[in-house]
Amino acid sequence: MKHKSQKCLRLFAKLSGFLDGELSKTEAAAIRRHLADCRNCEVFLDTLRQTVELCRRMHTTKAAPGPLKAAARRQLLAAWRAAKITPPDATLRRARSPRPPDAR
Amino acid sequence: VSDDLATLAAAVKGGDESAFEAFAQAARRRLYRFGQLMCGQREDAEDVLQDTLLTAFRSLHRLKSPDAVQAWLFRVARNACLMKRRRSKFAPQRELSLEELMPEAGDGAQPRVEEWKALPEKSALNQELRDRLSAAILTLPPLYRMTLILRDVEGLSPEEAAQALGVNQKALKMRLHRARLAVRKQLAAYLEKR
Repeated sequence: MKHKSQKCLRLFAKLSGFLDGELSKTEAAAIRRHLADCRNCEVFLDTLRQTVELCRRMHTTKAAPGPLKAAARRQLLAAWRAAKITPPDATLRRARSPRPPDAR
Repeated sequence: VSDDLATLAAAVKGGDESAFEAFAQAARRRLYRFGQLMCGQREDAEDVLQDTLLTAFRSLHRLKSPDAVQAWLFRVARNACLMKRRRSKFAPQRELSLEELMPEAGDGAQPRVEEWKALPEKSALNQELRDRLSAAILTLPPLYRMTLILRDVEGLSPEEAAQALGVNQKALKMRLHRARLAVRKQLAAYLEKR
């Protein structure tokens, strides 16, 4: 099965937009008309749709990290506590200051 | 999950130490699959996870809206992945051209309809198919890989994904389309050989 028509190739760039419902009504209608006449593109679009579906179903697979190790937890807690100690406003003032105070 | 994350993020941002553990665990669960699909190795995914959480806890107080915590965390994870890539064996960055993904380009192999019809429509993915899909995703250039993972695997909205990746909608859509085409092409090659 080959896609030789220029029309097939022009529509090719828009197929994800079509699947995601992001095209204008005119563009979507043009694709639907083409699909009704072109078995190659119809099959291609269907296989692209299936690919997206399979990727979406990867979300349902169980993927779990190992337990948070004690050392890693301590590191995170220390980072968070240190950030809490520095007042956010002071951090921002320092970042926005054109020169360090002691340079004036 | 994102609602829980947002609630927990608000508590942690407010200094609630009792929410620290729950937020860390929820964020780890939410980010783990992204790290694994990005890195391909469990060890690397754990490293990315820890680097991401370290950065997140250091700068959570600067997060303006806890409701946006999911996109923000993925953005931090994206940076952690790119940093790791610089230090290790990630595939070099390259662009996917539409031409190389066109149906009549490349190996010219078109999927046979019956083979695609035999794929499970609704049931859970079997291990072999999941491995093939993961391998196909892993061969994508990193920025394309991130786009596909965030949009199609993790289900982020176009706005959230664009925010996480720091790109505009046009670039996001272009990358997503090419990433899907590249994965479809690899899946077609696998199905034909089966």
